[in-house]
Amino acid sequence: MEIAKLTNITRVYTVGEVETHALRGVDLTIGKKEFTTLVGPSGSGKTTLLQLLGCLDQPTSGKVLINGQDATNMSRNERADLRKGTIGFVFQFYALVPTLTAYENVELPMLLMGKKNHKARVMELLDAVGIADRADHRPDQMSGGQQQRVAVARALASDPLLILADEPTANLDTANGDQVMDIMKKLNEETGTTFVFATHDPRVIKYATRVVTLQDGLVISDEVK
Amino acid sequence: MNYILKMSLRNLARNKRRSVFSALAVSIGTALLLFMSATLRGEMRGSLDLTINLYTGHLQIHTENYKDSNMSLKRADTIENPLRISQQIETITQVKAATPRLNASAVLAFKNETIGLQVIGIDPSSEANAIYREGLIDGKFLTADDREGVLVGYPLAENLGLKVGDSIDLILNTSDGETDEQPFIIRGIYTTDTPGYDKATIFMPLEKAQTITRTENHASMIYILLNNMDDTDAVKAAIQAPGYVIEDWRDMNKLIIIVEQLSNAMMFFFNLMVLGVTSTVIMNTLLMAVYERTREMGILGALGMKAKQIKALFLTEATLLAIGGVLVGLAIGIPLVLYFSNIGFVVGDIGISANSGMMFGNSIYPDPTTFADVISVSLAGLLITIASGYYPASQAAKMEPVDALHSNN
Repeated sequence: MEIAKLTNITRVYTVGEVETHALRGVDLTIGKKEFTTLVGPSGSGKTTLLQLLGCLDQPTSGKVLINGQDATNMSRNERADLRKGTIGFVFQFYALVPTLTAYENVELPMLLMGKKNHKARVMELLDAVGIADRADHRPDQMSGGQQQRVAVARALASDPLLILADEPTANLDTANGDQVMDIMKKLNEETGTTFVFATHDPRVIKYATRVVTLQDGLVISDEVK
Repeated sequence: MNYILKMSLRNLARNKRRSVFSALAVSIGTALLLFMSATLRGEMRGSLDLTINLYTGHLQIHTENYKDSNMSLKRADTIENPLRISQQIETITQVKAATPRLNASAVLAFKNETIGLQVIGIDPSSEANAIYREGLIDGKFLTADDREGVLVGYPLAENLGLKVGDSIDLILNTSDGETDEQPFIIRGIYTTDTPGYDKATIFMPLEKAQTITRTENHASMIYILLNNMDDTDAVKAAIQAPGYVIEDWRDMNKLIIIVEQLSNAMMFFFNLMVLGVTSTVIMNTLLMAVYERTREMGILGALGMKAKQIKALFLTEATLLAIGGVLVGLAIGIPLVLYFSNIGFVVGDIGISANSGMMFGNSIYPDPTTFADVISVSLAGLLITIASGYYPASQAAKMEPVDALHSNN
């Protein structure tokens, strides 16, 4: 069963008269429960591909199907709705809302979905990433590793089918990086949530069940471990 | 608490000093609008009250050809047997006082100084002249049978160095077009705190004024004060004075009403300027916030927050700034207005002569703030501030999450 299907995707960025071809015709299908990494050198198109999978961006050409829905030409608000219940994000720079506590950051996607009686679920998620004791702390009161664990909990808060993580360990030391990856791997195995990573980090690659390699905007290899 | 409201409050608390100063701009604007409108209204109402009490009365009876500006003393331009008419009018219950007055232009000579002014012959016992009796600062008030006493205003006395008991010469026009000169003794010095009037007006008993101007049993006008100016139309309709003209305070103070309308129009532009400055501050603050939180907008967008919710977040921040600013502004402005409406503030002689038809006191007493003021100023402050937040909010809302996430802010 596929969660996402990209067909012949191109993405061209135009700045002034200069065109940059970030993706040049990518076909990619992401199945349920996968733990996939997108690897490749800087500028290979990993992040662009992740953004298209996350419906944050739209392709110049090609087709994007997310959980069976054609997101190719969706409006901004339609894409926002699709993301809310389907896709979670973990960013390189943690990307927590600085004015909200760990609890409130995890709670936010649920509030956006209109969910009620979510307190137990928020605490369950914070517990799952081992940060329940920091529920009342704001991001600036937590270490990078702790913040990234909150970000993982937040990504799970909407019970998404797909979690996209862009360089999730890039700003973490080895111990914290391993800890975050252990948590995500465990969640993948226990809940069946699909994960797709864009990374350079060999520590992430070693956890992956599938490694897709990009170069110059094209998929040059797709290896299932 | 609604999460948009909670996030807005936290965002404002993120940079407390900036939020406080922005709200303070709204507060100062609100307080300034309250104070300025109260002051302008107080000045205009004060001017109208003074002009009515000193000059026109609520109602006035005179001949068709009589004009205050030329103070004609011709028989045809004056009222015959004015005491009888005024006594009849005083029987109307809403009338506080009705009294004859004789206005004559005159020249005062004292030592080597001569000054042109007006002499008003009054009935010293009339309630209508209580304002001069109560304003007496030296000497004593006139009596009806005083044949050589006059009252002079404080600024005139001060300018000429006049004291009670001094003798001055007055040269007055007479009804036959001649002039007559007589010495008079200063019985008292009065003030109405209206420099333009006090320095150009001398009072003497009506009978003496009639004698010297040769207008026996005649007066320039019947001056009428009412207990309540709302009764003007009713009293005007009740007065029987065939052959004479009855004018009310609105007819006689058209200039003040026009000036008030003009002032209100100027006040409107002043309000626009104050609100314009305030809205610029708020817009700048929120644009800074949008710029600083660009990446955060991207995160919120990635989490599924829609454009309208992001717009609502910034508009809520603008609304909170507006509410806080307006409330503090009212807390500053209302006591300020109330304080100055009691004690007034001295502006001195603003140089407008009594002949202009408008009287200005040497102090301005702002009109106390009304509920309508609070509502109109609050609404203006709130609406302008929230409207100022609309552009920054729209800027935030139209950011594509993918672009916002790549921002350095």
